[in-house]
Amino acid sequence: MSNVYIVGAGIHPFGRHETSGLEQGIFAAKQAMSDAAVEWDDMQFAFGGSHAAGSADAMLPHLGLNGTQFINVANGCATGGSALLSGYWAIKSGEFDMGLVTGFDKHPRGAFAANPRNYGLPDWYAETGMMVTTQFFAMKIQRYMAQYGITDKSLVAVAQKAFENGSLAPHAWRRQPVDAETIANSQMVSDPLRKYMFCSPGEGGVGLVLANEKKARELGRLGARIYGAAVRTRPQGSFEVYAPSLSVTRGVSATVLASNAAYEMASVGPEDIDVAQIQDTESGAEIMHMAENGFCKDGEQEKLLADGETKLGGKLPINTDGGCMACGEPIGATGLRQIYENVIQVRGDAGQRQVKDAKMAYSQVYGAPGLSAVCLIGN
Amino acid sequence: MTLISDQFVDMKVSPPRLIGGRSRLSGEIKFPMPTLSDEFEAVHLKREGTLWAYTVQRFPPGRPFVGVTDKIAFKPFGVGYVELAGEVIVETRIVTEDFESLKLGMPMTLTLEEFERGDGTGGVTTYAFQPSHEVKS
Repeated sequence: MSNVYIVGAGIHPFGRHETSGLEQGIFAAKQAMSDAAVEWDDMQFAFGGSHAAGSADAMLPHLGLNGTQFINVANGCATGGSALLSGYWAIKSGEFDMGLVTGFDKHPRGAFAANPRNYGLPDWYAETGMMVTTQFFAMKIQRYMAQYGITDKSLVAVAQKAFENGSLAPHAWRRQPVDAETIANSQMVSDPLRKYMFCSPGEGGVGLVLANEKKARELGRLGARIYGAAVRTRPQGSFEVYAPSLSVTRGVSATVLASNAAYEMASVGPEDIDVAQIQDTESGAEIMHMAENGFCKDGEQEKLLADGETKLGGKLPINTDGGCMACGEPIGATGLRQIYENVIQVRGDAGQRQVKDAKMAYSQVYGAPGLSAVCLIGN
Repeated sequence: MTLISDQFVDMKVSPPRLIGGRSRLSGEIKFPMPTLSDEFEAVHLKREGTLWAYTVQRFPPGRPFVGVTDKIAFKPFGVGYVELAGEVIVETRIVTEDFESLKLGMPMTLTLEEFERGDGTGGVTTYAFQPSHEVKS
């Protein structure tokens, strides 16, 4: 078994563009290969995915029809995370030396619409207006706030930090800071969450070149090693999106399982993490994910946020490129954007948003119908 | 009255009851009743519970939501989870005169709610829960 390294990273700026999702994916993939100083002909495999912008292997005529195996990955919101995991396993197994992982997407404006049958749910669940992701996030944080003493102030602080960080990230969509008052007075979407506390469906593409240690050494690219990667689905008793009923016997979330698995693989704990990208579909998700990923106990977020500990310069900077709130949410690309940001951070190439001495970086992406992908990258 | 589905509620009893499925193996109750295996047997669920989580849907959901989606005509509605003690926690629309009065743990009672279809073909009825103190006897 070989150690696995990310030897090249590329990104198409997130946001809204005239170009197709596919074109954004091609841009990012080519940038990743150029970053690693390798060619498409050097790739022994590719894993790629998009949720709503067509088949990822439509890239092939643009990269070169050379017979390379290209596997389309479709795993809902964990598409990017699953593509990465597939590439990681392929190299770790010793079967391959180097390959490409890519994800892109392009969604129209407005909330994501879901077909209940795709999730094994009855039509009436959606027809009565209960199959809406924003509701789930609102209900989960509403309950969490009441249980653990989190206030609206924390919801505002998370959003404000996202736009601040986004203003320092060239690939972010929202590049203007937004003041606390504007966030706190923005339109209520689903109580207690307001407009500026949510991410929007968006566009973007990411490419990553993965290689084994021998190849990474040849390329002089040993700066970003994958220490652990895991995807976990919802266990019995967890509170996840698209659930018409929940068990009265409560349990932990998919995120807790994925997080624990990744820490164990990497032989590190939350105290060893220098920078983290965690799913911030909205302010509430970031707050709850801080605890679910082990960075604090339930309820400690209120003080950590008030003290600015998750801002750049704080004890544990979180979502240093502004996360989903500033970058938007192209489903097939989000999980890989987090990893792109962590690669840039552990290489020390993040410019104004660089976390000092970032050695171990953490990422977690969450999606319907209750799954989480975690990845640990270190230098 | 047009029920949106006959899958979740037993109208033959008065007052109507939600139908859950109890696992013959673990005793665990799910709602709606899973129909893909014979592991589950139909059971009537409690009509009274407590509010476990809630929010207000303030923008019109996209399709396949069948209610009014016109931005001006749309009326916000409550959504939440109600814990039926010892049975299951069910997701539900919430009928209330005052969203601001909703509080975790408050007693809730099963009701039927008619809401208007967006395509102009009249009303459709589904189950909902209502704060118990608002229920008119």
